[in-house]
Amino acid sequence: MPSIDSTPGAMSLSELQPRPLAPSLEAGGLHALAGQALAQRLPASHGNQLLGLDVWAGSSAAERLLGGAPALPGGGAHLDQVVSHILAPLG
Amino acid sequence: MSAQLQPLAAPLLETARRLIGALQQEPSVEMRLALAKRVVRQLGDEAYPVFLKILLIVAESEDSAAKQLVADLLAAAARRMDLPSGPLSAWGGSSGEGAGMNAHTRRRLLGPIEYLTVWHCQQTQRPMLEEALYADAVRKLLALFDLNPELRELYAGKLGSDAGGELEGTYTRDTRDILSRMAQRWRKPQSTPDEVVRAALRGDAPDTPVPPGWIVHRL
Repeated sequence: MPSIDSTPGAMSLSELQPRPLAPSLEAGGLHALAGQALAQRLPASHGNQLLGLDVWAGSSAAERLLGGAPALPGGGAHLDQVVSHILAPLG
Repeated sequence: MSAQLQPLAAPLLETARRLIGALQQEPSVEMRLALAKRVVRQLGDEAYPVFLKILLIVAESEDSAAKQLVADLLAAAARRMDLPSGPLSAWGGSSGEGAGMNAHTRRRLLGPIEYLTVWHCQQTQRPMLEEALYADAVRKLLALFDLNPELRELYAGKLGSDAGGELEGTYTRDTRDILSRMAQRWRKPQSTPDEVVRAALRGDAPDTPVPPGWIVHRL
């Protein structure tokens, strides 16, 4: 079972014990849905366009920062939960 | 050209922010690596370019800490010869494959630079990557990777080794030539990403000057 740290904002993956997932939640399961959804929207022919996409359009230099993203709710999280959180915007 | 995908810009940016945020909060390099590799795995084989795009978003940012974090993470991966990789179909290969296998079912796992180079140079399951996009992407990745000198040394060495080897069915002659020139130039201290990419694509200037009036074609 994963350890739970109630301190807001504290997330340490290394403190968590591996937790076997149910087969349906392993690769190809729910946690992969975000990535799969994007992959379905990106047929092979769009790869060129993806690389050329300007995600920073209209942003000033001061706005081109990546740090400070909100931590996972609840503090501690299993690796799969973190990955799901990361990929959720693409789902 | 990318208007069709413009709605994906904000989600891609937010994904990159979340990945950086998670990596910054994780003190263990091992777990950071595991996280990055799990993200690649969850994206799936066909969406490896999304991971490349996330690397490019980091490279294009003005966030020095985020860039250094990613460069250091990839250096740790390179030390373990375990860079996050994606599959592309090989152009050839013959031995040990089933009779029903064709070029599009034999896939090799390739690191970011190798993936882009094979995508640009070879027939794969993807339409070939245009040269301008290839050059731009590699230039940005090299600038990102240069932030960690060990990563630069290890990755340049790996590219040179790959290009010099005869990995059956993985690289065409063109791909090997580009990787070889890239590795040679990248190993030179002080060479800039722009110089490395130009050397990779065009080759360095010939030792002997071209006589006036001659037109030299690159074959």
